[in-house]
Amino acid sequence: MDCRDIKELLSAYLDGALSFEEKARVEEHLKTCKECSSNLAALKEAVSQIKGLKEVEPPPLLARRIMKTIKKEARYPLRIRIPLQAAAMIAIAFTSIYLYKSFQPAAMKEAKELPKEYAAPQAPSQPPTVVGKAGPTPEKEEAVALRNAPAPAKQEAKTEDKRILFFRAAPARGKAAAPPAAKEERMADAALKKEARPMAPAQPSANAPLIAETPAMQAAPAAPAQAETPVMAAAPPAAAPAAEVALVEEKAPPAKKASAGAMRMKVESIEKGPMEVRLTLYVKDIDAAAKNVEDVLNQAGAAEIKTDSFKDRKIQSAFLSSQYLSRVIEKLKSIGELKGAEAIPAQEKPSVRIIIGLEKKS
Amino acid sequence: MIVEQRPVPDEDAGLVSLCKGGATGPFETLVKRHQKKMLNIVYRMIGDYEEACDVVQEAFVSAFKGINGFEGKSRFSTWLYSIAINQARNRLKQMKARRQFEARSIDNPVPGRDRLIRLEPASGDPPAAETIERKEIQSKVQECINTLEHGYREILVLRDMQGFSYDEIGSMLGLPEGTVRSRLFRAREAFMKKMKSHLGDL
Repeated sequence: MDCRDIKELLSAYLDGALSFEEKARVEEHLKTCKECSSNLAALKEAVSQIKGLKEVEPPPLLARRIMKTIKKEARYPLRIRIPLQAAAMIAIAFTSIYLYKSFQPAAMKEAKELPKEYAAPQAPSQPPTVVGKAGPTPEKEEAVALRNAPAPAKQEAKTEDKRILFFRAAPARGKAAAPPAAKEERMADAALKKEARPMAPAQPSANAPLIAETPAMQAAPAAPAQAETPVMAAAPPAAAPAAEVALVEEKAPPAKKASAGAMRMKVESIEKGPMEVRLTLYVKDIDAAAKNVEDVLNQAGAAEIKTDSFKDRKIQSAFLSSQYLSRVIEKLKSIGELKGAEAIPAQEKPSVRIIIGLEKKS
Repeated sequence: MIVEQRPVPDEDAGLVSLCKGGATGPFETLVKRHQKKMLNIVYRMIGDYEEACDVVQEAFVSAFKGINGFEGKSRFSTWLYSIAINQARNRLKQMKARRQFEARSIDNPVPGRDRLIRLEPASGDPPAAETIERKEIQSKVQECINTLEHGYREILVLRDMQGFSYDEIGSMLGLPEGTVRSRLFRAREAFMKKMKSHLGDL
């Protein structure tokens, strides 16, 4: 066996990894071969040099760092975490789109701007067209408002058409029950007390009209704003809320450029709906008068006659053929003191929606 | 030099079976038990302390994830270290690619910067008895190891530094014992050659 073979075995010999025979052969050879012996010595030296390399210590926080990562992994393994995160992202995206669509931007914008507008002291700019006598004093108007409108929502109507105010007070489509109505009135009283102070009114009423005015809000069942106003809760379940709102907008000063889009929408909606005529009838006996009015309406062939009772007032509504409107008005005048009939515009449409508020004569 | 005979039963077996249910507590014990050895293997393989710490962390995490796949055919430590060795190999490739990229960078030229030659960054104060000469030899040794090809470097670290048996090295590197023996022989030859050219008189 020559030195080259032995050299190959020396490494393993050093490690004690040779078979018994190989080991014997190497040892036999080493006895006689000085070169191989020195090779073995050099090999031993080299190995000890490598072995002599100092061990490094792990940084003190390494174990904690590792465990932190592992605990995260154990709680939500990556194969669960990634799909979860993806699902969450998708859910957020869809929710955002949904929210964006339900609160239309125009409505949102309007919602922000309205309070300011109502806060502005543009107060008695327009005389009431229906209820109003010529040049009513503010107190008088206030009093009318008190009787007509139980909701805080009416406050904004001061600057607008009195008819709206009336209408707003009346859950004309008749699903509102009496108890909520009573509640409304309490609310209204409270609001009015605040209103009585000259300039203060803007603030307390600021929120209510805003909500009442925004059709998108009414339509969106989840809108949180609704819950804030009992009036809204008691209002008839949006049969045609857009139409109500539209009238308000129609009469409103043209200052609302910002909500032009929303306005257009509303104007369109009113064009589609029937014309509305709102009247107030002051009588001694409301119950008896209500029956009389119902008879009158029946005789005129009115459809969908509804009567809503409140604490000291009734509101009746019906759809009427336009041609009978003037005759009905004449008959109503015989029942009691009728207001609001002075300024009824020419009827363009075949049918008209008539709303009659019955009030106790003072 | 005689191969140390380790006890055949795996001291980690109990903890490992607890970890298979997903428990992290017993795994922490395993981390504490093996982190130093793993760090030293990886550090000597890739020569960069920070990178080595990273690799060790990665290796422990993937060991935890894959612990259910550990069948107990080898010792747990052998299995664990083989994961670390694989991760270190990958890291070496990444570092090599990064170095090439950095070398070409005009914005950030770092002349003479070779991460592989940086030595002992974590060793605290050297023992008072340690002479400068000894320190120099150590740095020469590391330099020589670093210039060896990866296969040789690995096997020298595992055998001569860490003292693993041929059998263990074989299962860590996935090599038959005969290959371990011949590769170790060639690695030592190559190392001696390098040392000779570095120190002159070895």
